[in-house]
Amino acid sequence: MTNTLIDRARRGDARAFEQLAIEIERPLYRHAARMLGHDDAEDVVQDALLSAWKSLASFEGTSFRAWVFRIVTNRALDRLRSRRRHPELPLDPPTEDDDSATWAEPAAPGPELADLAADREALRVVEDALATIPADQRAALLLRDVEGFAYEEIATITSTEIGTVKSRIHRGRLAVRNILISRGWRGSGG
Amino acid sequence: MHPFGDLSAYLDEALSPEARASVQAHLDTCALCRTRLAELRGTARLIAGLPMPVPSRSLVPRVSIPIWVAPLRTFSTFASGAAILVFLASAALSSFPRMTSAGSAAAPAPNTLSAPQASAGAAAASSTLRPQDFNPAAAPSPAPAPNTDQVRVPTAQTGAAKERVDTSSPSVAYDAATRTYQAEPAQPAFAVSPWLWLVLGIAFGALSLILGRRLRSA
Repeated sequence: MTNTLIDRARRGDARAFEQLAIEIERPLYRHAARMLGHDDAEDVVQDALLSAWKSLASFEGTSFRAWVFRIVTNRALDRLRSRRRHPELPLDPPTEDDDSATWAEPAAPGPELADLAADREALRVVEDALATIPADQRAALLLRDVEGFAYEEIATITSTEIGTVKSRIHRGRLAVRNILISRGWRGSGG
Repeated sequence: MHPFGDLSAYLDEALSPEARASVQAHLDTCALCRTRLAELRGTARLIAGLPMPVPSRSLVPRVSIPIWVAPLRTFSTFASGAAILVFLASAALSSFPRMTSAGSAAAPAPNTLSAPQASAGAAAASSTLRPQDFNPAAAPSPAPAPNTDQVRVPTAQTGAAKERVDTSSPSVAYDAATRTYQAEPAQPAFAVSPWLWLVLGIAFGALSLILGRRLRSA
């Protein structure tokens, strides 16, 4: 069905493209909102979808979803770079060896990570933790854990090597884990 | 040596078969790495379980609608409102002169009638005008200049009545039965019927509704 819509859209069928966009609108907004915050996410997604329509003829891949996510991710990263007149964190800080990355230890026993999912306050902590990690790590982590893309797809979306994707996901996930641990959760569940 | 750097990729099944087997063999013997793996798995689940934010509006661009539809709808809406306002205003103004013309009867009479007739009072007002008494060159209105028969000011028995005829930019109606012209109040040449504005308002309103439905259905 989606492939049919893509074929129709590539032939200039605007309604077919709109159906495709409706299917993917929410995930795109979710991704953009977690990258940028809610304020800019709507504009970025709408601009990205319009750009996708205009450049649909250049789409040659097999995954329309990955292609549109690439447009949104690039625009979100561009928007973040433009904000950085006074940067606080680099988008992708110099990496150290992933094996030697710091693992924070819980200071005192707390709830397990598995218990957090039902805790609204804990979910807010997770969102805050995501917002503090470098944007490139956040993009890779969200594309993996939320959107379910494979490492190869994430490498295509973010125009990087698979090794870089692997490192970004691990380091981003570890950073979120460390923030949660610092809040007192044991994190031994799961 | 703990394979910490490979744990996330192991979790995501993104390692090569050889690397995966190596990590698996280490996990079988290392409790610390199993704990770290569980922590990463729990973190990934928390991230995946975050609530879905909802946009406040549709983000799908309406590419199936010609680009001019939305501006045209806006224009039609404003044009409809403006036309109806003009209709109401013109309808109100059209009754305004009738209410005020009687009150302005004392104003000096312009030039349609000759001075002797203007001063002749009721007798002159009821008299029959001859063509040579009518001065079309002096008339301010585009009324047709009579050149035959007679011009008669009907029922203008008083100065006030004559004034009404004179100040309303009279046109001259031809009475075939009596072969006379009758001066009567005429609309200014630039006046447009109020109903025309009403029709325009309805037309633009209908266009706005049609375009609005087109936008919503897309």
